[in-house]
Amino acid sequence: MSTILETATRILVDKFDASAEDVFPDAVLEDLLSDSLDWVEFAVAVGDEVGTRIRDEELTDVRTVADFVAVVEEKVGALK
Amino acid sequence: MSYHSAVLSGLGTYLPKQIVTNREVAERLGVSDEWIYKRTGISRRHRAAEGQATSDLAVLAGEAAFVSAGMRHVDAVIVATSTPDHISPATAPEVAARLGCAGAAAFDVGAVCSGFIYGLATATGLISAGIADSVLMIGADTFSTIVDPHDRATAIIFGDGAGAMVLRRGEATEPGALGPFDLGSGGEHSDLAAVRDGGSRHKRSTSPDHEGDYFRMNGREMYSHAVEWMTESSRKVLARTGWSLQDVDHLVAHQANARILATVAQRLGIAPDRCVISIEHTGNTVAASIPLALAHAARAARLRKNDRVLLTAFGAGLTWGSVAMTWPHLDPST
Repeated sequence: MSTILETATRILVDKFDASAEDVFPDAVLEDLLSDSLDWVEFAVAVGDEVGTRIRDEELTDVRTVADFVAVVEEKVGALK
Repeated sequence: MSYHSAVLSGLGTYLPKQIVTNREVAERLGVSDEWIYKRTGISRRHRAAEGQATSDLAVLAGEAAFVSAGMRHVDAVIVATSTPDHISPATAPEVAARLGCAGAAAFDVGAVCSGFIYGLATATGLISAGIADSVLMIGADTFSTIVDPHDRATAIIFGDGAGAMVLRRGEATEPGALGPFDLGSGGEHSDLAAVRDGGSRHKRSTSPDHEGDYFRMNGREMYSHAVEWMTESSRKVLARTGWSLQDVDHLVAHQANARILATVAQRLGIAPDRCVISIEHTGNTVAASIPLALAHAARAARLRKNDRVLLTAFGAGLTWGSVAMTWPHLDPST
């Protein structure tokens, strides 16, 4: 089973045209997503795959890929 | 007492003659034509002429709906708008009078981009309760009057327009019957898209540059809520109809932004070729967007008699709503 980091990385590469080598935990998400609406689409895509709903207000303090993964891991963990 | 359904019997639209291209908007905002198209799926929008008010658009769409329905009188006229001619009175009575329906019940519904669905639900209530046998439901907005032409978040998106439906009393099993519905709201987020001044909270402009007179929107948060609530509301209506996702021939969502439509369809699991997208040539026409999208699809012969159609909308407020219907035989008019 894929980790959330692997899922997020695959979606960034497949859906948002990021280069695989540019996606790593400390990469800044703003550099990988072209505009603010991409953030919503990215959160929806990851949320649908891992079975949770990631609200936009939960991403207020998210800067890096690792920050994003931490938010999702906490949500998924809370569901278990 | 027997309950009746509201049945669609006429569809009409009106778009102002003046067209505003992406190039014109892009030059003003210091962006490119492609930048706008890529973010919104919009290439042009219509703008009401100087002095052309929301009621003027509403009357023309209403007349077209009467032509389509082959009738000239209704018991009630509802106008969904958030850009009424005046703060008071409502726009609908004047529209009714100009359409030759003087004496008909007439009032406005304010639910911004969900206004048309809210209005359809209200019209259905009037018909089901035996208060009216026929209703003219109009969605009309002139957002050009409240959009700041230098605001990237709104100036690229909104366009003016009107669409109207004639509804008559009928049976739930007939093609054209509306329902079931789902309506909802989230007023704790009312600040995400709003005109601050001009109402009873701040009666007059509170800043010299008239900042509070413009419609301001947090696009990213509205996008997030739009995806969530249009999906949720659509699922509720499907559960009430007993339709599966495969049964939906056409998803007609409020035309806010092509990307929102694609994301909603994807979340619901409805294939892109079953989504009606008409935003490219109109922009987001607020309360008019659902009838304009339906007319666009009907004129392209995409909507056929007995097709199962799911309508869903989301707007400022927050408000959202959805309704299922089977498509009747009709010719939309302009």
